[in-house]
Amino acid sequence: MSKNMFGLVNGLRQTVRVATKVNAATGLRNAPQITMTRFYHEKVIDHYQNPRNVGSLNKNDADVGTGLVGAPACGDVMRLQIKVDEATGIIQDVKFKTFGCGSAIASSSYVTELVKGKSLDDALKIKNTIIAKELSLPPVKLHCSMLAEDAIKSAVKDYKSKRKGIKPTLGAEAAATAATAATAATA
Amino acid sequence: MAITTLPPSYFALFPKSFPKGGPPADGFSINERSLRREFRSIQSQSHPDIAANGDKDVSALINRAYQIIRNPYLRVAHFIQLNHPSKVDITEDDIAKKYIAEVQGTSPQASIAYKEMLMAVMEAHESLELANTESDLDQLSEENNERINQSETTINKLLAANPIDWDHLIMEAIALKYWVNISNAIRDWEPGKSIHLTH
Repeated sequence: MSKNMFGLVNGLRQTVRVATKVNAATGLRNAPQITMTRFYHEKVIDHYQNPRNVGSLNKNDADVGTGLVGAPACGDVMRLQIKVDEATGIIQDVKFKTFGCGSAIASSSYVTELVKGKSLDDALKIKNTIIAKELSLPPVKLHCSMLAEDAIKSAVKDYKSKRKGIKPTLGAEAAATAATAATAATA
Repeated sequence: MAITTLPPSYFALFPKSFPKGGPPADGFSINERSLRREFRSIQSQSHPDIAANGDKDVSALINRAYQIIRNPYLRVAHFIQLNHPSKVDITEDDIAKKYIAEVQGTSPQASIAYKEMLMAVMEAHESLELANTESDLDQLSEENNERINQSETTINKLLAANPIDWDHLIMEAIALKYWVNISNAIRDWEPGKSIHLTH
């Protein structure tokens, strides 16, 4: 059923005009001239038609972080969930659901492929410009990829806040946690 | 028509609907039918296909004004751009996000309120996705119309206050955008057709 909602490729409004002109001298038609009003990269269409990792994870699980973000100017919404290996901090599984335009859905889908297998820190380094470049999004659609970047940040933040209750007792992370706690106490 | 950084008041183009030049002096809510009637009557004097001395630029401006005023989200955004001390255009994504971040930072309650709003948006879209028949839409449509009505009531109240609580108004306007989108998705719904939001 969720596949159903992403089915329409013409929703991407790919407009290709084929113009033929008659050559005055020969009376023959020239080769068609193709002008594109808005041409989407095939990767966008692929991710839009066959979005990867659509669905949801149990948001109540301790190892699942949920990010829910919106693009206020478009009214698009995206939910991104990550399942993190608690020992290694590696993102094992990721699911998303986006209600928005074709570029927003494609960006969301692409980003799920990008974060799978990454550490939380590396996932946080993903910038919307990378997504937009990879999908060759036109400038007017740049903010659609921003939704995906926001969603990762929000999901990682949610996961980390869930883990706050369980403090590490050893290693660099433990020292960092202790330092944060000390700062918080004095603040 | 060239859009300058600050557009003229679109409200002023419809003196019958907005005799005092627009909100806040006039109410925020509109009577759609009488606005439509006024729009057609003005357009009959300026549309180049109808009027002998019609002007294509004026006609385009009136069209644009009508599209903005009849949509409650665009209407409040236009009001904000005209009257906000910094003349902000909240239809710009980064500007709207800046306000959301600011308001979310003010209190945990404000942050939770925004999250809850997004959850309601997500839920409404998911319900629409699960709809099988036209009749399934009725309830969703009713719920959403109620949200839009409530939002317009809130906006009316906020506009009546002096001074206006701009942050609150902007957050309400942003929420309205999500509800208007759901409205459009319900309107465009067809059995078995994918949900696709265009903007």
